Amino acid sequence: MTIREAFYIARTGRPGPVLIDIPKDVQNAWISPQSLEPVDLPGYSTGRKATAEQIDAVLDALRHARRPVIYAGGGVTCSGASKQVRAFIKKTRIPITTSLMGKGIYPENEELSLGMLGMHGTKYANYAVHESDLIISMGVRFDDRVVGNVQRFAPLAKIIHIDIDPAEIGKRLSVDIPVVGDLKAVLTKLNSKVNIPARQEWLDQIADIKSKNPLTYKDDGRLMPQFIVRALSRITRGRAIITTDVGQHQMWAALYYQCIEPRRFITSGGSGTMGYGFPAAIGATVGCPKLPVVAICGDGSFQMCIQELATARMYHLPVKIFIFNNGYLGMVRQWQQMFYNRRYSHTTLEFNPDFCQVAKGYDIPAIRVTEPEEVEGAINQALKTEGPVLVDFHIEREENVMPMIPPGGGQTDFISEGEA
Amino acid sequence: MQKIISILVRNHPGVLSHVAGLFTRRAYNIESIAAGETENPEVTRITIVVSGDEFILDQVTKQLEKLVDVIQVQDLKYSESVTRELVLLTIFVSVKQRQKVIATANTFDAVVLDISEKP
Repeated sequence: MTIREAFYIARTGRPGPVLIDIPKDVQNAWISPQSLEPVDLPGYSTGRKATAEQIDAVLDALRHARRPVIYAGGGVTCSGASKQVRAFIKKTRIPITTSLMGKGIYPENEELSLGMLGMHGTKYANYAVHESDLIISMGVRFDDRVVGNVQRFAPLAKIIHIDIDPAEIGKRLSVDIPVVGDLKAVLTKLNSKVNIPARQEWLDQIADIKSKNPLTYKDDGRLMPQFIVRALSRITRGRAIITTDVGQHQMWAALYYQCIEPRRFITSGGSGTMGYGFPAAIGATVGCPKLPVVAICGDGSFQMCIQELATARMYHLPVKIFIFNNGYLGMVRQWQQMFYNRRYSHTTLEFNPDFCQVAKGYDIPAIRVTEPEEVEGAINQALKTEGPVLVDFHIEREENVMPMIPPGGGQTDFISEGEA
Repeated sequence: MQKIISILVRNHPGVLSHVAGLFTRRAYNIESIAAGETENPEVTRITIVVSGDEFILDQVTKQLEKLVDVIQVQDLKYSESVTRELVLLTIFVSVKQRQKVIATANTFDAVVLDISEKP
């Protein structure tokens, strides 16, 4: 019964982990399977339905807004509401920005996609939210990596917050129009009633901001991580399953891989767990054997679960491991450079193994890449080869993730390259 | 600002720990707490006085409702409830002072529950 309750709680409402603690004597006990009584948890409710008033308030706000933006996140994926979001955008022509967990809800190569929002988000997403007069947020929690300074977030905007968890609404900032309910259901209702014209002036303004603030990096013959992710995005046409570890490589993957489908960008998000990427990729390929799976890992992160090379080899799993090798705990080094005067403390991985040798030790083919000219060939070869493959990219060591808004900053407080 | 919250929870071990754990994690300050079985042996009532600003107190209620063991959360508004506080005082008195103390207690309708020699 406990196990059934645990699964029920884990999978309904706002999905999440449940811990089941089974002591040894219980493990060794004999049980007879119980008859299937319904699960009865008086303290647990699987979420409410949005009221008609809430829906009407949203529709009313949409009618009056001139500069609306959608901010969507992991909750949309949990609800399986990507289709409904796409239908909503088709009807309303409202541009969309996502959290890290929301990548792929809407195809990122489309004109109305603003990419990721927040500390390492695109400049245009941050500008758009800063100038917006209505933020329609769906399945997000306004995490501090996105919001920065709460007082200065979206200063001109009314905020609509749609979420299945009532505790999230108003948790970080005050919300003008709260809507508690399942996103799929709420959006289906909205889609059946919404009827507003496209705000062409706003769309023109957005297109202008986008063209004036593209994602950039120095393309000067060194092996740049952004170049690798771009190439991967192009070659897999944004449809591969990408898992990441935690750090600079994670942010480059988030910025430069253009996801076309939801549930393809698998990352630990707010948990920030190094060592996640490779095992997650193993799970992903077992679940989706027909899709290409690439684990993008840092050299620091990869060594936290490096022994799983044995698992990949044992089950001959077609996981492609791309190590973005810069010999540092990159993200921390970047912060030490920017905020602590380059006092690099315990972030230099002075000794790294030769990852290709390690892979070969596990009987896994490996490729080393040190020049940009080798990138495309290596990616193609890795994807073509059966079974697990490791690619060790020796990227530019002190490259920083840009753009960046420092902690506590407002959405236009970008650190300029020169200050880095 | 203070709030009195009355919670109905499932009566089994570990529940109080979950509630206290939530308060600790989120740094909500418990001013006082009392728990006891209700007329339904499967349900316990926990009454908590918590302090904080309005935003924090709103979050306390919402976060409590998320706990699986919590069946119901009630915000006891001062104007809508009858409240009593109970204080048990131990006073060390010499034989000479005893009468005076008892007289004072009577003035304030305090009840003397016990008199004994040794503390």
